[in-house]
Amino acid sequence: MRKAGFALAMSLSVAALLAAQAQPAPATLFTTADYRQDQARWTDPAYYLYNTARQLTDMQVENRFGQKGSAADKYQIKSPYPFKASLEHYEAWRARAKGGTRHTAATLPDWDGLWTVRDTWFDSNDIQASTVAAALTPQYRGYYVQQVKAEAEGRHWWAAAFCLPDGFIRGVSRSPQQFVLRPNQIVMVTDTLVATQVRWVDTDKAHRPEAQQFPQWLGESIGFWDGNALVVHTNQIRQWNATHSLFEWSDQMTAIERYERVGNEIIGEITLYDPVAFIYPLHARLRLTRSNADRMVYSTCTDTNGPSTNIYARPDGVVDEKVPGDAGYWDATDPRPWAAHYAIGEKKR
Amino acid sequence: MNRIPTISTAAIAMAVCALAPVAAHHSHSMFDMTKEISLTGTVTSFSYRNPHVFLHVDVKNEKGEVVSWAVEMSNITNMQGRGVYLATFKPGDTVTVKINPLKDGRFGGNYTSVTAADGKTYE
Repeated sequence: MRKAGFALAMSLSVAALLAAQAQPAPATLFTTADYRQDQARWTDPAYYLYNTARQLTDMQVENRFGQKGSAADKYQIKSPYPFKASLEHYEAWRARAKGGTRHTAATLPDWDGLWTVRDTWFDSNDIQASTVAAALTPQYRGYYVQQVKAEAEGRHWWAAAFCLPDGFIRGVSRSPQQFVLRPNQIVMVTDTLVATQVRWVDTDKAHRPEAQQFPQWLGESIGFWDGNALVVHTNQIRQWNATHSLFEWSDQMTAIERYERVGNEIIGEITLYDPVAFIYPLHARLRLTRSNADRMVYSTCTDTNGPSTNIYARPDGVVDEKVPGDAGYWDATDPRPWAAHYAIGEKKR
Repeated sequence: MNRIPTISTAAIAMAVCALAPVAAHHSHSMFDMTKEISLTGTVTSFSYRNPHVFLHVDVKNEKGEVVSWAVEMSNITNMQGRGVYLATFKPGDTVTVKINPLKDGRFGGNYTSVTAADGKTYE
């Protein structure tokens, strides 16, 4: 009787083991037949095998496709503020600053020099893809998973590769940055190395009337001084993509930034509002330290890419580049490219 | 310029290595980062521009035919940080470059180091 019981228990154990083995492992971003069917798992870090956004982007280049990531997730990306909209946020901070501080050229703080942005999740490092996905609305979460799957498979689509503007998010997070402070306006210059981006922050005027507003690559910025801290409100930001396994945003995105010189750093933060793309307002810190760069360089993507010809997407979606001898290759060393253009017309005549 | 697809120059040495990607404005998916080849040849031009600096080098293959290679480097700010300026390479200089080659065998790649005519190596 005891033997029979043991045999039965063994049989059940083996059956349970076999049943467990027969269970397919849950699909991951790397094994799924159709990521669109996995919506319930899009906010699970295991779906991405605990890879950070940057690790997904670099997966092909580092030859570690489908391998487990670092599980790093060091940022709180949900806004800590109670505001539902950026103008509410802006006006609350302006009221707290009693309308803002009026500076003269003599009283403006010293932000001279070039600055490097550090310690922000906008560089895609140390943030789980699932954390980003969880912050997005269903439509934009779908866009996001489509993007990170493509990035993990080496099908990168980075705006700058095709000589398109980097857009607002990369504009505030790339380096070096320069601030030119004037009593009624701050000029923010970023060398993204593929383009020199310029923002003007007017501190003596409101946004243009709604009937005159339109989406712009870097939006339209107004601001005020809260003592020596600059607060900026930006709207009319054109819908675009931060790339590098981050997120897309809609034309509804608006932003509040705050920057203040503290010692030899500028401590910044940004809160992003987008009811179409984000479930809740997003927040990022932007710590700026002195740049090692000696001076700014005026940059254009077309300097070496040509008019978006040397970098192209192959039929399989993988980005490739032309080298000398390839059809349509842009020779960046040609000092007079217009001469070839003129010669074509002369030959026709 | 000869563009035959055989890569068999006497100067090529293959090595398997794992390299961290450098900051780039475009994907590096087209490069084979598991391979590093070494090329010794003559500089034909040096394009010192953003977003990527390019060094063009003519290299003789084992048949004695000249093959023109496009060597992609980083951006100007990064290259200056590594000590590479416009004057570092001139047409006619003999250089040795190590690259991760294009996966499809065309004559291009992403540099990992360059040894200039004066013997100084830049990484």
